[in-house]
Amino acid sequence: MIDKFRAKFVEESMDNLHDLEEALFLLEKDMENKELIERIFRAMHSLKGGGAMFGFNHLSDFTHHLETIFDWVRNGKLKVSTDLISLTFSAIDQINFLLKTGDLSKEEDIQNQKVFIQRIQAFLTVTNSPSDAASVNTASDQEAGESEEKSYLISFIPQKELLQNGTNPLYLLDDIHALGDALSIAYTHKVPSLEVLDASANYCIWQVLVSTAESINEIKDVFIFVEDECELHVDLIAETAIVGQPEVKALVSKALSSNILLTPDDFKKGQWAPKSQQPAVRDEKKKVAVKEHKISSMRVSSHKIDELVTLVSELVTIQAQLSLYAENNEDPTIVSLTENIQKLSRQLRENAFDISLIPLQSELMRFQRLVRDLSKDQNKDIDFIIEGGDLELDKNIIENLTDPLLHILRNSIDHGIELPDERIAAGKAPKGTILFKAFHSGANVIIEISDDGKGIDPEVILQKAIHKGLVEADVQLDKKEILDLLFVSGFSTRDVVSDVSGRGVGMDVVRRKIANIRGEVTIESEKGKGTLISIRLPLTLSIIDGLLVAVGSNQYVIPISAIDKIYALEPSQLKQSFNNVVVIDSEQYPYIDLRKVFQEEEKESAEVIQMIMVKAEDKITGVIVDNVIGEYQTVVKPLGKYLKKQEIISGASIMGDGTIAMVIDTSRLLHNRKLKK
Amino acid sequence: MLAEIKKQFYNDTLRELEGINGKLSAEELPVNEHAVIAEKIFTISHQISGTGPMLGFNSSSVLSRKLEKTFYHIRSGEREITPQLLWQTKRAIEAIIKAISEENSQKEF
Repeated sequence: MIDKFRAKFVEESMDNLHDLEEALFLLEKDMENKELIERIFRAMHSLKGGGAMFGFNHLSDFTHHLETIFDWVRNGKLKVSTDLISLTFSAIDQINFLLKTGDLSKEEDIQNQKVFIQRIQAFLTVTNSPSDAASVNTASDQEAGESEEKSYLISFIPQKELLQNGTNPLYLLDDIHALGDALSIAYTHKVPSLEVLDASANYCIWQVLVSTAESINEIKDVFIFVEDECELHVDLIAETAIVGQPEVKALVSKALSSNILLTPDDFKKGQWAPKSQQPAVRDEKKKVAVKEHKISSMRVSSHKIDELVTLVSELVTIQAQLSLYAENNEDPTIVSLTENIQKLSRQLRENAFDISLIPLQSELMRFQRLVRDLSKDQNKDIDFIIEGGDLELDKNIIENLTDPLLHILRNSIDHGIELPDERIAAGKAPKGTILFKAFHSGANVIIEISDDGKGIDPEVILQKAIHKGLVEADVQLDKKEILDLLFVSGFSTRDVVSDVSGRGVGMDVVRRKIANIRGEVTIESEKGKGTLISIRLPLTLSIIDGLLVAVGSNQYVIPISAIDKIYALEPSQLKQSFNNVVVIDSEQYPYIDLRKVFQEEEKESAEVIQMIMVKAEDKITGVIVDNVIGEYQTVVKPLGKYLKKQEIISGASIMGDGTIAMVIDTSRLLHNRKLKK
Repeated sequence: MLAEIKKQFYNDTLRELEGINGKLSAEELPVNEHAVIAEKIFTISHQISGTGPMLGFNSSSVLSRKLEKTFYHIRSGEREITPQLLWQTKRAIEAIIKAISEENSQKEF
């Protein structure tokens, strides 16, 4: 049982560490931020307490020293410095290690920890001359925080029709209560006698007194959708929290008994005590109220989600079988039921995949650390900007994406961004920038990593490739084709192998790993200006919307996301074509005949030729198939090791009738065609 | 024919509203999704208030007009999205779902 709790503690602590790293990054940019300092202190405190409780004694001891440091910081005895932040980052690595290994047993590890603790203690002995301004005590800070609470009088006078328009005024009152300490007064004196009462009409008026730190606009937003059906006044009545004070209670009782609405003037006469002198009970109440308002998510283990996705995938396959059965039997009841099941399974599929998406943010912290640590090691000054970190991707994609991304970032720091002196000499700002940008593009997600470093010289790449025998000396390549050589196995331009990159296992591995998750990677670079690496990824791996086609006696699936158009061509159009280029609507398109690709016999002359226009890397290529069968929700199954060498097939799908359709990797298909050319 | 259109309208609208409601149920909707969700809410509320009355969805049309108006201001940058506004939007969408479902079960063509 205790093991279960220990595992839970480790899991939660890992989240805590993530939070801690994030707070440290922010603190580095704003070293006086008290909220961040408090957040870091709290995280250390939780790790210390939890560690001791669950038998992580070395962890508890270690974090105790860190907690002391941040206690000093928050009390103004110690100032935040870059050194302190670097030390804390290293400490996070140590905490991570302690969480994974538990209490230390190796003498070497114990000694390392002792040395680390001495480093921490050294911070406490060095006088960091706390400034007078920083030594403000926390109690007064707290007071300042509390004094931000203000009190408002809300008068909500709805029209009679309010209830007929789907509004429940009690929800609105609940929402006001969730903002802070509140007291509601319901005036019911306008409710008529039963004989004349209209049950669908509203006769009540409400006033609410609320003490809250939220802005007046936040209060008004509660009534946003009823503002045309009511008279609403929100008046500031005190600069402090007054709800619950005896004078206020007396005013409320008086209003209720007299049925005369309170006015802001009624509160001007009072001398309101600051909140710190009021009983603390209401704070608890507020916390509970706010909590009730917000809890709406829960933690579920990832293997349960994997299981759900697998089950949904199976359901989609079975549903395809059912659709086929219904079509063949032509029973209207079964057809109608099947349609409903199809709709449901589509919704279920979308929901299940939505659940299995996780934000990219979860991995970004590692990248930030990498950029920070490496740039410091190499004496480079780099601003790492992240855009679109909230974007969500399939868990399996994120897991497989981390290594390639780390590799690309390492390259940017090691090969791309120059030293500050070199940058100044090149007329650039001494601080380099790496921009990490993630965004949606149709059914894909694009991740771009760009830097404003020295860029790549295509001539150097070409010479290196010739030198290594990768291309002939007299080859004619355009810039894009030269840059593509970077993805050829074993290519490395760096003569000196550094700790960071330049080992020769580079971009080819990146391309392969990204291809494994059905992604594409491209590179653009301008010498002296910088490099942009762009990764195009699918949203999910296991189910795709596909187009089912027939070629020879086999069926294949082409992902819909890759399809631009479908043309039905006259055979004469192809006969006139030259070098596998066809003219459609005055545009020239290269094309591939899948019969040739899959070594099927030549087809006897057909009346119409089905050509599917497939797009990859901004180019459109025609793909000739025998027949277009229709749209098909495809559960993609991996091919297994025997078919691993089949480059243009990314997986297989089991059809409703039990046969197998191969899923075509369109970008590989088009890429292979280019190579053959 | 009209019954078919009504059924289609009801199914599509309900699916769309439930999808939006699901998004709004997230503990905190990321800021970069605000513009997308605002556009979606505006479009669906515009659709309900425009097409709804023709198909007999009167009550839900009245409700969606309120959303349409507010999100028109948001789209044009005259108003900002706050957590409270999203919370109230969620309540309003729930009220529309309730109204449209009731109207769908009551009226027969």
